[in-house]
Amino acid sequence: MSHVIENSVRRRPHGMRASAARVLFILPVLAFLLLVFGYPIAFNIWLTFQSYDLKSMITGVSEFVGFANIVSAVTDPNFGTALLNTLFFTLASLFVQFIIGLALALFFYNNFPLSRTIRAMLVLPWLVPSIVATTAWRFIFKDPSGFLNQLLGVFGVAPVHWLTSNDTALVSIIIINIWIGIAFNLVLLHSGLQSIPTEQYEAAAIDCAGYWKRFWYITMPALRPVIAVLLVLGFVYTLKQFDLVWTLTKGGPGNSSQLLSTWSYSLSFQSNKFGQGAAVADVLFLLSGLIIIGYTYVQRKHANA
Amino acid sequence: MNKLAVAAVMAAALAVTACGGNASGPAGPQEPKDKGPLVVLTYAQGDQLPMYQEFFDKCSADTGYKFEQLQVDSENIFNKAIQLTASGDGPAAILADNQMVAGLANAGVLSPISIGDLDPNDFVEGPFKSGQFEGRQYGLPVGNNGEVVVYNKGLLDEAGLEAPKSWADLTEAAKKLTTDGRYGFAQTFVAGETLSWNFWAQLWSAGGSIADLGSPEAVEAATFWASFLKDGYAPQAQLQWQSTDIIGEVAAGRVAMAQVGTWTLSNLLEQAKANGIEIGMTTQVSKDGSAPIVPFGGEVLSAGSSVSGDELQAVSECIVSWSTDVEGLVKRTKLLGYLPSYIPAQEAALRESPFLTVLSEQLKTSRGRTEEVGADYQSRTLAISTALQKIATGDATAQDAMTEAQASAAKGE
Amino acid sequence: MRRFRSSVGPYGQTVVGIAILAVLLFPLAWVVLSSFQPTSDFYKPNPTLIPRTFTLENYANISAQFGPLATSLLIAVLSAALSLVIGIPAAYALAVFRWRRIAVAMFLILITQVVPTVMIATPVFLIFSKIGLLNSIPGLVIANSSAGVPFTVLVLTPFIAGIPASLREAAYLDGAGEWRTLLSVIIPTTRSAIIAAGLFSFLFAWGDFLWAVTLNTNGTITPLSLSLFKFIAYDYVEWGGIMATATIALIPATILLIASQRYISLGLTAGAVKD
Repeated sequence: MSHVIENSVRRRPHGMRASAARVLFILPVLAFLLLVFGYPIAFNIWLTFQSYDLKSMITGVSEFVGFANIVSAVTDPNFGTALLNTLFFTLASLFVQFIIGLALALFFYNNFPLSRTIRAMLVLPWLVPSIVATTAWRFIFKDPSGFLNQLLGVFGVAPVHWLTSNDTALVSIIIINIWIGIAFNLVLLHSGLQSIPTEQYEAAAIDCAGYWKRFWYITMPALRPVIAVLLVLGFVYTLKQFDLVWTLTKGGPGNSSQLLSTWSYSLSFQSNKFGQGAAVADVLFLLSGLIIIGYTYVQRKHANA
Repeated sequence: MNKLAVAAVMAAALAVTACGGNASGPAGPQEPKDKGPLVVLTYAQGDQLPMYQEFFDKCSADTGYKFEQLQVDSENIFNKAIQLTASGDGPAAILADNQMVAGLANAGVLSPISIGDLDPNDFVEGPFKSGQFEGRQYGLPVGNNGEVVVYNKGLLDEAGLEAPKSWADLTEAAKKLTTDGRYGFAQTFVAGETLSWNFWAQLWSAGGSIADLGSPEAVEAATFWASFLKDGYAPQAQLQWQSTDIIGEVAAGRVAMAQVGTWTLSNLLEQAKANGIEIGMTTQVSKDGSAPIVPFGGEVLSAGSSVSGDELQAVSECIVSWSTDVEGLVKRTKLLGYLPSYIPAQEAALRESPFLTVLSEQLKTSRGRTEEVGADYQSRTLAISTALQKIATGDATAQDAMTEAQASAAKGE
Repeated sequence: MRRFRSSVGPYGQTVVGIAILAVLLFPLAWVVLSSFQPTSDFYKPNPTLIPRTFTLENYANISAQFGPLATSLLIAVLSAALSLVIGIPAAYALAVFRWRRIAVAMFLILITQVVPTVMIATPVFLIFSKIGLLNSIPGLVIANSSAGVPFTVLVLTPFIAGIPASLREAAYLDGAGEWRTLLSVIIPTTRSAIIAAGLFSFLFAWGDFLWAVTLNTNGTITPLSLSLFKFIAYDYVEWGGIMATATIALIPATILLIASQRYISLGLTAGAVKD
């Protein structure tokens, strides 16, 4: 690094004013985000208002159409289904994987023989390409005699049409998504638990506080910031989930497992209606924007408290 | 920072990026391409690749240009062709499903070719026209496949049934042959083109058109096609089954009749023989039992818009020689269950694969999938497959589902 | 917190832990086991956990997958490195400089992640083609860091903010600049969190298919997931080859995981806890 930077810093070590040199810390990340996200997102917003089709892709020529694409997308009967499915998918996945992740984190908090190795192995589902993982699940859910139905058969339960029925297709995909998300929740929550000073528990033990009492009054408040990060990241990652649905059901049967992400993709790249696809993607921005504003607001309130 | 300020900064940030997007916009017009290898975009796979390369090597020897294959998966080939062309690095030729020609040509990804003194009458009419868009020839068919009806001959004989011809025949047979542990009829109901193209023959036989999915004829055809699943004569699992899965069920005697792709037939015959089951074959059914108008599958080799002049000439020559190379066509037929669209090659191909006779019958009255709606085909195929799944699973009435399909397909076309 | 100890004892907990592992890893166990069955068995209606017929035929041509495997490893490792190299200074800046617009920065970083990758693939392709990043390892590394970079920044920022100011000040008094403070104080202190962020960035990039298929236009760079598609035809999938490749791919990944197991959870969010 150049001496100029060091000198400027040395002169005012605690200077809180932004200096040109300090911008260097954030410049690479800004350039990166603009390249990989900024341009595509701006492009997407621009697309929302254009009559962009396959020809435009080659010639670059398209016309401004105002809100036509948004109106088309929002008035489509599929919109309501995809929106509700997305909300259900996201909230159900988040909630269940959080509960299971928390339970496992508490379980692995005890250092028993092999606990660390077992915990590390739980991250393995992340190491197979998603096409392979979804394939394994395809055979688990296979209609009529996949692994799950074989297991249910042992208990005398009739085969379930997991991926081939309107009632269970989305639920099946939620199950897979939870399976993928457990490791992420476990790892983050477990590290959260580890950083709670043990003195706090010792003090509580002296007070003869019960397990649940300690959990509610010590563990949960201490985990609050981790949980906040976890839920926001989880929300964003779940909202954008695409591969699972696309590989397994393409949104079907009918539209029963259609999500905003898959619908947006099929509008854009199957039907070549890029403007409408972009309008649906905008809804995803909006949803995540709302959550993130909420998160920022809560964080600030806590920081000021 | 208060909430208002946050909002203002956000809005400003968005405005800035939005302007950026506006200014740069999408890719500009393509730049001229350097002379070099001629790239053929293909979704060929496995044994097909070396087999095709052998052929392209011949093209290289004949024309003096080096032909190279670039392989992508079938789901991505359309977008890949568009993207590559948009970036100024478009392929010299594209070997893809014939229904993509209209969309690709309309987008400006293809170049019209010269077919020299080739006689169009040497080709089956429908497939030959599938290389055209708005009156210009962009490519030639390399071979055709299709879906036909296969049945377990023993079971039909036992029930005193003939091979089904009409809607009534098929429904009656499916009903009779469905028993505990066996389904009367199976069709693939996998979302997308897989499902929609196995339905078009029924739509046409009812007098409907891909251009109007909400018509009473279209509703009638959809009701019929979804009825097997709805009434329990077809397995729910077919919502996930491809032809390859279905033939296993037919060969095992768990499905009595099925509509499957011709590329699976040799495999089916082999498996069924091992199980001692005799397989019969017939054309797809039609409403009144007359010869059905059936959509044909198969690939067209077409020229890319990135080539011109001598390069385009070389590509054109290669396309013509590919489509009329009797020996090569017969070889491919055997491997892929294709029937050459080039009539002089058909006889030899049928000698090699006699079970394709049904397909050759069917091809005579076939119709290209994009003949009615051209480049808008793809949005229709998606809409119809969603609608059929909805009807079959009882999620919507045929009338509602089809009206909705027409409405969402037509939007923004 | 010692909830189970009283009832089942430490070895009992190990048994419970292994049972949990067995349930959650069942799909992967099947992937490995099924790689030893012929492809035709995948088309039988009843899948079995133990192959009906044991065969090594799926591994016959497996050496063809070593190249793609190495490519995948290289891309994932470089993506993790890139995420850290540009993510750490940014996290430091957000944590220490206390810029007033920090909330907005965080907001923008988060919102960028919500679009499904498929939606940004085409515009990224177009811009990469203009600046010559197609068909190159750097191009793929940049694209594959798109999840790792925001993740690194988000996770490390509260952690760095949690380092007592006195530590940093001591470094300043020694005459170190901010970059040197970052290198000599911040990075060593947050080492385990950095390793964890790097590991996750690696995992985000590992197994990518979409970027590989989008940003490769001439087939010169073939990561593992792309090579898997050689096994997939329109309506026939050579499952045996896919499972064998996936099994081989699990080996280096598992080694990496076991080697870094003590960092997987240590202190990843310790900073966040301190708020």
